[in-house]
Amino acid sequence: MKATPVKATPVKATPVKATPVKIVVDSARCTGHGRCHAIAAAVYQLDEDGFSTADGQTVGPEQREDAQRGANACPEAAISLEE
Amino acid sequence: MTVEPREMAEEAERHPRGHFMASSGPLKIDPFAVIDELGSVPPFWADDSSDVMGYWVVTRYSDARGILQDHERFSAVGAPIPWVPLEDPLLPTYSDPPEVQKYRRAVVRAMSPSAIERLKPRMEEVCAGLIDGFIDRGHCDVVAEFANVFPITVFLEFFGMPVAERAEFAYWATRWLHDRKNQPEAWARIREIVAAQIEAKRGGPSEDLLGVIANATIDGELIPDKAAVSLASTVFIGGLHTVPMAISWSLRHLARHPEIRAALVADLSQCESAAEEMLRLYAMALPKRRVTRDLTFQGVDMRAGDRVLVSTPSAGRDPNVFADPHHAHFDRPDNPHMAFGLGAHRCVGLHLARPELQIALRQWHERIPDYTLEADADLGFQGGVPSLSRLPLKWIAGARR
Repeated sequence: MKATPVKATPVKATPVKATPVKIVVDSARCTGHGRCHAIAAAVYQLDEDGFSTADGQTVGPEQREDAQRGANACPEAAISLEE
Repeated sequence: MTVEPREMAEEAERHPRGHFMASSGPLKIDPFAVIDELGSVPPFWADDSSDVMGYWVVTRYSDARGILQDHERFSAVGAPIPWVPLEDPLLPTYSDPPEVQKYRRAVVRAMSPSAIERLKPRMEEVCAGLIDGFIDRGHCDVVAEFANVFPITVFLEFFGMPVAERAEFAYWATRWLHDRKNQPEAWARIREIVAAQIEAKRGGPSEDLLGVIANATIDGELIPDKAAVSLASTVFIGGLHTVPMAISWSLRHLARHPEIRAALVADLSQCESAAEEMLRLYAMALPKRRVTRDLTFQGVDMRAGDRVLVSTPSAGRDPNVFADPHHAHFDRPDNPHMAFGLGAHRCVGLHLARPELQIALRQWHERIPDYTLEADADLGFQGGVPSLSRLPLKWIAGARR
């Protein structure tokens, strides 16, 4: 039994790079769990029905890590990032 | 008699290699201990006295995702485990795309994150009122006095069920959940009550969920009576048992792990991630599918017509995806568990369920930060939706906050 919670899962993709990144959302896979928005609201917005509107959006280096965390949180694996 | 080699292989695959508890009967042991014992293994054929036909069980995260995102090979039609003949099956639960989206479209906006946001003040109020009722006593049965009451109170208001109908409706809902023998009768009564409400709300304002469903359009036409009743009943049943059990398993976990609880109490802003961890560990909606054609999946030969049970709590405890999977860590940076299912059938009520669990955890720990499980308590474990029948907790009375 651990005395305190520890950081369990490392953020998968980072060293933070100084380049922008493009968010790709597979609309066939997105079913509106809303986890991307819950994890990184500044990067991922939702439409009126709760589906991600981030497809095609480009984010700057300062938001790369948040974009990656939002993508990793998607249980449908619907989000990927392109350089 | 000669046996073709392929048939022999198939029979070997069907030799039961594990036990599972899909039925909603009493269990002598903690269902999540059974889940842990199974581990993350290739698909196996289950031995289950409640379903003599047998079925596949899938435990690994990637296998679970592969099945739930592939409705062409793994259909939801005719998939119940154990098999319960119902006059009208639950829709859209036991339907496939594109039909399932037609139904979902009718309710998804009414249950979107922004729509549910407006309910939060009322959720807070209901939750606080329930805790007021037992906090000074120093003990309560969490299941009966808190977890069962909170979400159903919120839901029946949101649903638009008139106050006068709520007690009878809740009675039949309980029968549906806990009395398998009378399930068809209970389902019929639930549908009768819903049907009367749908009829009353036809042509009226869509100011509650029943009104939204009664006046929805499918394929450009007003939704047929039968479809409206099935959809409304399914949405109701979907949250009836799952949210109470999410709250109950969470409080039981935190009662058994005081060091984790202390970390939560020290920083209640973690309630959102704590709720996700509890959902990962105690996922309890176990989706079922039917194999549509003979196929090989992850090395096992499945036949058209075989049914598959996806053990979502096993997927949430898969060490290939979650580091230290058996412990709660409120600081996981991402947590792609599948407690609400995946694919075309992901839970339509998840935006309602999440804040309910978060609010329950936050208010409880704000006001009752220190509590223990009553010694030697019989929690009355149940299979099906893995359940506790009771959860007696105690704390120092008078430390009211």
